Amino acid sequence: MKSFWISLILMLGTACHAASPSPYAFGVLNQRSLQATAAYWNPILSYVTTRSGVPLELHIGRTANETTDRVTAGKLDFAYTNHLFTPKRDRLGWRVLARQNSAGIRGQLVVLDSSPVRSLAALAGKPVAFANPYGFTGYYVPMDALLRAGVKVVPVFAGNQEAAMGQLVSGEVAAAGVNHQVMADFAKRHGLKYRVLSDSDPYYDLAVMASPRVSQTDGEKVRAAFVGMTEDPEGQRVLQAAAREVGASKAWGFAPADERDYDNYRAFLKATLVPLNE
Amino acid sequence: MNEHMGVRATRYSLTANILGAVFALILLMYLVTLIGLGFSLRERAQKNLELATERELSAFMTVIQDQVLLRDYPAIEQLIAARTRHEHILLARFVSPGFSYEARTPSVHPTSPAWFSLMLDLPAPLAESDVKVGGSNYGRMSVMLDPTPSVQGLWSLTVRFTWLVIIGLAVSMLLLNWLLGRNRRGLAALREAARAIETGNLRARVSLAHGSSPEVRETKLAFNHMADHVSQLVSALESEHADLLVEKERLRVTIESIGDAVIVTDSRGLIEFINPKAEELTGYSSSHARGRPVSEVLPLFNEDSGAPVTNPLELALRGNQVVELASHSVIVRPSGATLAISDTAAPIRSREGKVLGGVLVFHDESEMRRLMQRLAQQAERDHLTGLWNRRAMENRLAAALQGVQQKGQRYIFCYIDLDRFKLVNDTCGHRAGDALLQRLTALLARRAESEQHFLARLGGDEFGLLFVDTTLPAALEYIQGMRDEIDRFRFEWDEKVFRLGVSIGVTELHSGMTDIGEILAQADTACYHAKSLGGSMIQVYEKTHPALQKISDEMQWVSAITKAFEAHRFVLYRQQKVALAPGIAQPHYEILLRLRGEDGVIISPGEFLPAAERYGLAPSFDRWVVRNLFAYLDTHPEDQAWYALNLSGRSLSDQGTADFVLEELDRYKLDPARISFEVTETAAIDNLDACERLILTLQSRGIQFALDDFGKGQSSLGYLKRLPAAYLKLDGDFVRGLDHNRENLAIVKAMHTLAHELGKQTVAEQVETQGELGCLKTLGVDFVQGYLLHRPELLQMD
Repeated sequence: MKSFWISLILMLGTACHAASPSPYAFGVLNQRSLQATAAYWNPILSYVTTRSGVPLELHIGRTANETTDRVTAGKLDFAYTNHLFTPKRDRLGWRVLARQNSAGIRGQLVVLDSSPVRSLAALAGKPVAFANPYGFTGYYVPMDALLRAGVKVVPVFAGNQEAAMGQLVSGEVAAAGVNHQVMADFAKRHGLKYRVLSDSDPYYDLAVMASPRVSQTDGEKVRAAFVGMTEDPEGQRVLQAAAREVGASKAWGFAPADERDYDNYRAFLKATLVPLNE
Repeated sequence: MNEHMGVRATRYSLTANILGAVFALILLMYLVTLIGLGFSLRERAQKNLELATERELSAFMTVIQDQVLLRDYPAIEQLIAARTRHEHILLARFVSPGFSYEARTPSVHPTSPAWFSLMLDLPAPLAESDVKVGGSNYGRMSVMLDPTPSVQGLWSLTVRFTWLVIIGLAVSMLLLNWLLGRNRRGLAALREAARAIETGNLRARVSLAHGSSPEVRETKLAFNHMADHVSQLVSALESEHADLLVEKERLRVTIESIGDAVIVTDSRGLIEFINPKAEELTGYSSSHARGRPVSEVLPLFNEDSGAPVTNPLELALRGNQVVELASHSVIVRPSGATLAISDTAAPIRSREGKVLGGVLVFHDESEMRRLMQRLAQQAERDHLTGLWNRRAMENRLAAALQGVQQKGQRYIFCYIDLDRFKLVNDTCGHRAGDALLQRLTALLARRAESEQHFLARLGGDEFGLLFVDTTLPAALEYIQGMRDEIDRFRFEWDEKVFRLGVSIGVTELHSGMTDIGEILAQADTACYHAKSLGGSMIQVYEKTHPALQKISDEMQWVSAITKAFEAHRFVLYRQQKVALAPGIAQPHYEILLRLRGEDGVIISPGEFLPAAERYGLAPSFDRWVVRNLFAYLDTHPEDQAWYALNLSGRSLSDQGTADFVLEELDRYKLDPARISFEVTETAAIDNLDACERLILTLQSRGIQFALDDFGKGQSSLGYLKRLPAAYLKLDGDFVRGLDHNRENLAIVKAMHTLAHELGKQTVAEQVETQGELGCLKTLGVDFVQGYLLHRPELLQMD
């Protein structure tokens, strides 16, 4: 009789666990403020959870670096990032599931339209804002351009890209290294006119990646849900709503992607003159 | 009036009342404000607390939001704990699916009393909200704020407000007390002045000292004005009071000294005052009479029946009107003696008409009644002869007619008229006439001393004799004896001897007679006929006697004339008197009276005038003619003719005729020269003295007279001399046939010559032929009148 009760309790405990599995931690690289990031991603993750049946929970670090640190510390299961293509992190084994369905991102050095700075050389010795020392288009690509042009500037890390743009607008810095898409959206939202001093080659935007401990099945379900959003009216509505939350000019969907789509990242990171912060 | 009557005294002074009222009012306002504001402030505090809790919740959520997104639960705990320590937060709690934290702090120790908190009952609000970002719920945040600071704030506000009210109340009380004190000083001055006036110092006035409020100052001024007015009134009253005392004394003396007795009673008829004369008449002294009913002091009885008579004062009090005592009332004095009195009682009324009492004024009329009785007796006696007079005879005849009609008694009445009495009067004067009457009536009275005879003088030389219970033959026998005795009677005066006769008309009373007028008329008719037979005749009235019938017919005219007067059927005609003498410009007319019969036919005066003259209606005609002619002349100023009016013999003897004519003349303001009167020669001679007086009176005012029908009567040149007439109207009998009758011509010529010699003008009447007119012109007659010249025409009055 005693064994029967123990068996029943274990069965019930199992059943309960199966009914509400622990969600996967989905980390998002800090491109915007915490509030904007959460406002943008929570609806999307809710949709993907519903469609895929794989529960996802948004996890954000205070900064992009902290978010990346959580990835490297194994605290996250999924990530939307482009910080994992450095040689050292590439070895963590994360795999690409999908990417933002955009033309790609470029790293730019921009000044205000009213600024007298007309060239990269004019920035020599001046403070230039960047998102953080780990950002690809927000630091590595524009700083690489400056280094390759032989211009030494005083880097100022604002925390995220929009903060760097805010310092540019307030006049604290002479220029800012930015993701061209984020900059365009910011300028549109604030009616800002700016001038591009340096523009890089295009790179695919951040990738939805899964850690090696995520099963292939769950990974595929998540990929399918992300990719299928643009085909699903509900998914489109979610994307548009998320875009409105952050003032994005377009509701970008997701496209299927694999490791090859990010080889140019790996190549740049191997050859860049900027010291990598891994 | 008691000054305190009708005024309910209050326990507190005016100041206490005002201060109390203001205190109560402010206290009430304080409580009302406190309650009103309290509710409002509590609501506001509640809302503020809820808002503060919401704000605090919002602050918590802002503070922990990033930590929630980062899922940094320790940081969340620290943030919540730290904020909870620094704010008045009773509870701050965050609960998420994998995390729960709650921080509590004890409530602040209140400084306000517990009852205030209980009364305020301000609950601690709990605000809760889910922490959602992008549609994902990160947990639920709950915050509860401590209401104690709000309660303390309200308590502090209440305390400050209360102190403010207390200070305000104290200041108001002090200020109000100070103001009232200032005004009370003015009122005290008013009170002192009023008391001074009350004690008789009418010169006391309120000083208009500085510092008084305008209202008190105005009141003082009004008081002083009132005091001035009262002072004047009192002075006037004192003066009037002194006058009244004098008047009262004068009235008392007057009432006590007047000959009339005066009794004054109250409204119940109880005596309040009785003057000495009343004491004397009633036999009651003033002290005994006072308070007694007036009917007791003045018991009244009918003089004839002895029946009690209601006191007129009682009637006056009951009826609120003046009442006069019935005649023949007497009072019975305490001694038993009676006293005839006459009195008048009147109520004494207030201005509102309420009866306050009554006054009875009476006097002793015992003597007067005795005199009245004597006068009454004298009224039935003829003062000249001592016989019964006409009134006594009429009374006796009325009683006799009643005896005939009711008891079948027999009465004979005879009308006695002396013949040739006028001759004595005219030749020897009235004294002789009076003496004659006295002697003759003494003779008659001796024969009529028995109770079967009632002899009276009816007027002038006319007597009446009533036989009681006598047959006609017996009466006639008596009458014949009396006539014979009068025939034998001789009257001597101034060596002249006069022999008289007597005409007697007799009638027997019977039940068919309606009134004494009929008795007198029958006897008079018979007497008239007896006289017409030549005198010293006795005529018994017989209804079917032709001569008496004629006379009776004349009597019928009396009623006909009366009716015609009432129906206004008399009309005026005029006939011109044509002037033959030169220098007479105005036309002359004689006014003639005509009667329009009921059938419209004009009746000549010959028909009705004899009856009118005989039965005394002629003066009425004369006055009617005068009045109507004068009215005509007044309303027809275009008619400037001269008019002559006829006057009857009765009017001549009427002493009022002259006054009447003159009054009418003055009334219409007519020229007297246009008016003349014509009197017949006979009438003038019959009333010679009166006629002479009348002519003289009216002539003095310019009215002329004409002697009418001159020559027809027993003309005497002496009469002509005495009567100052301006015209002689020659009788028509002489004028007619003048042109061929030598006698008439001679007479007319003689009369005309005589008249002219006496300064009179002549008028020839009834001229109907040219021959007559020619003769008259030749004779130089001044006026001619007749159908030849002008027929009488109606005088158009309208």
